[in-house]
Amino acid sequence: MTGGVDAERLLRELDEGWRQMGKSEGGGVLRACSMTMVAVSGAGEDVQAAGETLASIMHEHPNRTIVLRVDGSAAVEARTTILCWMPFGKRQQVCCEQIEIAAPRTGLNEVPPVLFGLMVADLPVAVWCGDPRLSVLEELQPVLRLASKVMVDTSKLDRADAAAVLAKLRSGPWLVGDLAWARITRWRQRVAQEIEAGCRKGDSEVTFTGEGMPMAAVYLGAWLEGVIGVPVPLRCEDPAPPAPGMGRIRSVRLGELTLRRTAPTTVCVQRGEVRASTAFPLLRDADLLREELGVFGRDAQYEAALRRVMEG
Amino acid sequence: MTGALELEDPLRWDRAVPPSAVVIFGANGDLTKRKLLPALYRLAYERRLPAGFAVVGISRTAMSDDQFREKMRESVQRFLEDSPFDADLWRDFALGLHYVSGDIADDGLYKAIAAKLGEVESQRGTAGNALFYLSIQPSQYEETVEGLGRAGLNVSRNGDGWRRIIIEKPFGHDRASAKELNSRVQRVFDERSVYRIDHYLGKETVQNILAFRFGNGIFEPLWNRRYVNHVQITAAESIGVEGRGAYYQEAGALRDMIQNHLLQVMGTISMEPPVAYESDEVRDERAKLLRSIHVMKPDEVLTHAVKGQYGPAKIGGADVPGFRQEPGVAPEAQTDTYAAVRLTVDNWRWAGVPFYIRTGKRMPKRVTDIAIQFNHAPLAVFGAETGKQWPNLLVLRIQPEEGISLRFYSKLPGAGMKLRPVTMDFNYGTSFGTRTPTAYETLLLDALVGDATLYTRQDMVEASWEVVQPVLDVWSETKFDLPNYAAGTWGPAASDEMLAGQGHVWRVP
Repeated sequence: MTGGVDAERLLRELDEGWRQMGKSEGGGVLRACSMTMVAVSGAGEDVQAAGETLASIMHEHPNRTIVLRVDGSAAVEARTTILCWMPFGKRQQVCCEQIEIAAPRTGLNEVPPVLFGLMVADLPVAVWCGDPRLSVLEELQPVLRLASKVMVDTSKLDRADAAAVLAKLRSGPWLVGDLAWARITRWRQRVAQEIEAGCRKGDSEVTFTGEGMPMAAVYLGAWLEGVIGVPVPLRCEDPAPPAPGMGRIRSVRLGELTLRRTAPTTVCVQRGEVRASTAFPLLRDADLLREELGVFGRDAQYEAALRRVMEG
Repeated sequence: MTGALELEDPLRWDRAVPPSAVVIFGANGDLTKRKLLPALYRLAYERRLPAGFAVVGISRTAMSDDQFREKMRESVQRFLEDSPFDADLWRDFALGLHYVSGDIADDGLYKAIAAKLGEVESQRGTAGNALFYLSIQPSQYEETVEGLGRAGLNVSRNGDGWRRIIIEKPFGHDRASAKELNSRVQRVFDERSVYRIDHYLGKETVQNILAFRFGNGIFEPLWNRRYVNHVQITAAESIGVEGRGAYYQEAGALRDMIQNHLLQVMGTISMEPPVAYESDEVRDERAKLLRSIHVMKPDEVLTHAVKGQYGPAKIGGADVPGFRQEPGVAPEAQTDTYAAVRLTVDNWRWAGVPFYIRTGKRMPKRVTDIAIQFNHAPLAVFGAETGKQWPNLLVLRIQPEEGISLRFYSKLPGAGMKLRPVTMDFNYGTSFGTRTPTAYETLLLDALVGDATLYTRQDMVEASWEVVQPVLDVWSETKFDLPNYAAGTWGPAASDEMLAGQGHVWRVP
């Protein structure tokens, strides 16, 4: 029992919720769960946007979500909900469980025992910290130790802060995923594809817009360094913030190949005289989390790039 | 250090397609419009195609490149499934679309194709790689392949590119014509360059059979004659021949479905584990299984196979015509719109286990599934309380609701030991909400990267014709009293009787 929040009571509430849904839904509901997702958020985060992201993930990775809000609450509080959606063309609703726990920073050490009681038995646990600094809080380390994967997003940190968080995170037994790395998958894929297709490698450069060096560009440079064997310069094209939907990476050049974002949904691929467009809509957090949740094994590519980032 | 090994990231993306051109014979046909171009566009949308990519459409109709592009744009917009149409992307994709008109019988056509391929190679950097896709009448296959051979299009100009060919089913009309087709194709293309497409094998759920069987440890020990009582494979369609009466009259259900799709599915269900998920290893095992199917003697056909044809019926207040009333069908047609066979496999794993396969048109609903019925529990401890016996049943659903369900007994709540069968369901769509690629996306991509795992090989085609040929022979020499089932039913009574003779009953899927 922790400050009035009891895992068993929360689970009973959920059971009661399922019973009520079973009675009220003539077509029945499908209770879907493939993992426990612990989403840790800070006081300054947009609660609604985070909620939409988590709901969106459930369609592909049905899970029991435990949202832990580290905020100014006087005491640890919790509530349960069941989220349902009707798959297109189907008559049966698919439902997942969500538990929200609010805890003050000072009461955070009371929370892990509650989380342990709420984790779904025998299925993987994933932890997501929108603000990466929360992932290194000492009080949360017992939770991380049960996680198969810990995901953060270093996009909003400067390079030094990001490196410090990542250095601490990678010392644990869990897999680390960074949404800033997932943000460059399509750039990497396209470069790899063109090199495999015979594109000649050569000098390389990554350009970006906006102030401060984005971690996505840092990762992309580190990956390219692995490909060509020499450090890759990162250059700011324009310190003004990018137009909506454009993202911060502007171009990648490698020998005769240039990829340049020309519109919010499009990247132009120029390889010598051959030109093609490729669809690059800016990805939402939910898309990036989905990608990271699809990688539950050792991610050698990311580890190699991260090592270079740390060494650089 | 240069990190060539660090280029690929198989955890996050799949194999890259090399620069290449796809040459589609029958570019003005339905398959191209409904399936092939939407699939290629979708692959471009998914960033699976390289910048150096082109499509060359071939057909009799005179058309300019621009007219072909416009026609394909309309088709892609209309038939693209679960995907947005991106006008910017299309503009660049369409630059790689070209068209050549001509007659397949005319050698001039192949010279024109050679010239066009040379042109796209220099413009688009396709590196001499070309995939020919025969989406034409089967009667034109040999002529086209030989035309390609005479023009030297079966090898690239410089000899460093690859040339492959995709052939749509049917691969022959019977055993002899299949062998003849294979032999003539192989005079021009070696077997490794021939991709015989069976779109069933490209379906996600058919591939999932391999994942289910060989990715899990708990099912394989049960997967044999000791535990499996029998297997039922059903592919039912609720529609009739939908304007294809003339074609269907010559083909029939046995040729159209069982000889290819369903025997390949049976092969996937019952083959031995391959040593690796590699093209040759998987196909070797599937071919070995197909060769192990007991080939019926003529006198076995009447007890091991049932031919059916649907007659007219009134369904839900609407009059549904019988097969013989369909446009283009002869009033005395002996065509099988329903076929059921009882097959056995002559190997240690499956000896004595019946595999029942049925397929038909105008059945009560559209469904394709595979049901593996296990033996009863060795001792009926709860005998009197359970009523009718419901042995364990594992159903692998291919369409329309892809998934897997397992039937087992559970105690009825309350006093006494009353048991009732229940099912435990895994629903593919709700567990993985992502869009699944169409079979044509999967198969085109495989052919472009040179992976033939999901394509049928010459020996597999010939082995499956061996299985159905005795049935075709006996049926062609026998006059049946048709129609013998009403539209909207599960087939002729003789089919039920075939199973009843073995103490089995068709499931209601």
